[in-house]
Amino acid sequence: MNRRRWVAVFGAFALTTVAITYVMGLWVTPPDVFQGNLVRLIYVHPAVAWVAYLAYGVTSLSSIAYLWKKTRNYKWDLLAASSTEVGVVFTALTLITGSIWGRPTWGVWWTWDARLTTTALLLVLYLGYLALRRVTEDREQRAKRGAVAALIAFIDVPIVHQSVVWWKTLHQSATVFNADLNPKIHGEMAWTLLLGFLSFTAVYLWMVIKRYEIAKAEMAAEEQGIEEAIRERVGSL
Amino acid sequence: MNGYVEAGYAAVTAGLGSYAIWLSVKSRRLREAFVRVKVDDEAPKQGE
Repeated sequence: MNRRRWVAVFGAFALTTVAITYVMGLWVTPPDVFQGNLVRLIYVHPAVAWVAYLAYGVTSLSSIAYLWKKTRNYKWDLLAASSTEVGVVFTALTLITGSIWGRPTWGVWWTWDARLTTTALLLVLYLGYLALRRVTEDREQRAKRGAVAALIAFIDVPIVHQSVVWWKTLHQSATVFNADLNPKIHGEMAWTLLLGFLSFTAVYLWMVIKRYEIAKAEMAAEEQGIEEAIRERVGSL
Repeated sequence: MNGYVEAGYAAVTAGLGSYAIWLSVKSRRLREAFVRVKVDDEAPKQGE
């Protein structure tokens, strides 16, 4: 089986796991005593938020690998950019699903709560990273500036995670992956939650692979364009 | 069930689905463009 086929098979696998999560989350698991059916949003909201953290973690590691002279390679820069783009999609979905849950629970679509505000800031920071990459055409400059910006933006990730501990927030603190590692949750609910984390992680991996391949092909096209321009110029002399 | 729950699941499906479609279309277009360039490069030039 060639590489392209493997990626397609993995994409189908990711899609299947998400479909199973949806069936479990929407129909199989029981409603919550206090929240009723609204609890079903828990199978997607924390999972997409986790993927956003993961994506920015991969971006940071790739950026470090690019900045470190021993491992410097444009592949790391492309991976960082690909992971960020996917992470931005997941961060936006985190805010949207959180807002949809907040309206019936808190009575508002949005509030300047510490968790919500720092997550919105996270989205803006990484949108800024993607914008910064478009400022210059110079590949080396783009990669270096991008790597530094990605590492600065990552400072917000632990702040987002700890915001519910450091400040008084409307957002609930960790209930499943708590400090005691004692999830007070029904078995079916816990397994569906775990499946949600796994399935959205699989979707993230598929998306990063596809985005990375596109970025690599675009870089090759860019190189080919430069070579052709040189050939034309040399040919016309 | 619950309109908010349905809206949440719909948002995730629409968001990830549209991005996945965009990725697939873009990668297919790039692949086709590369095949075209390769074929053009390999085709005998006029006068050869």
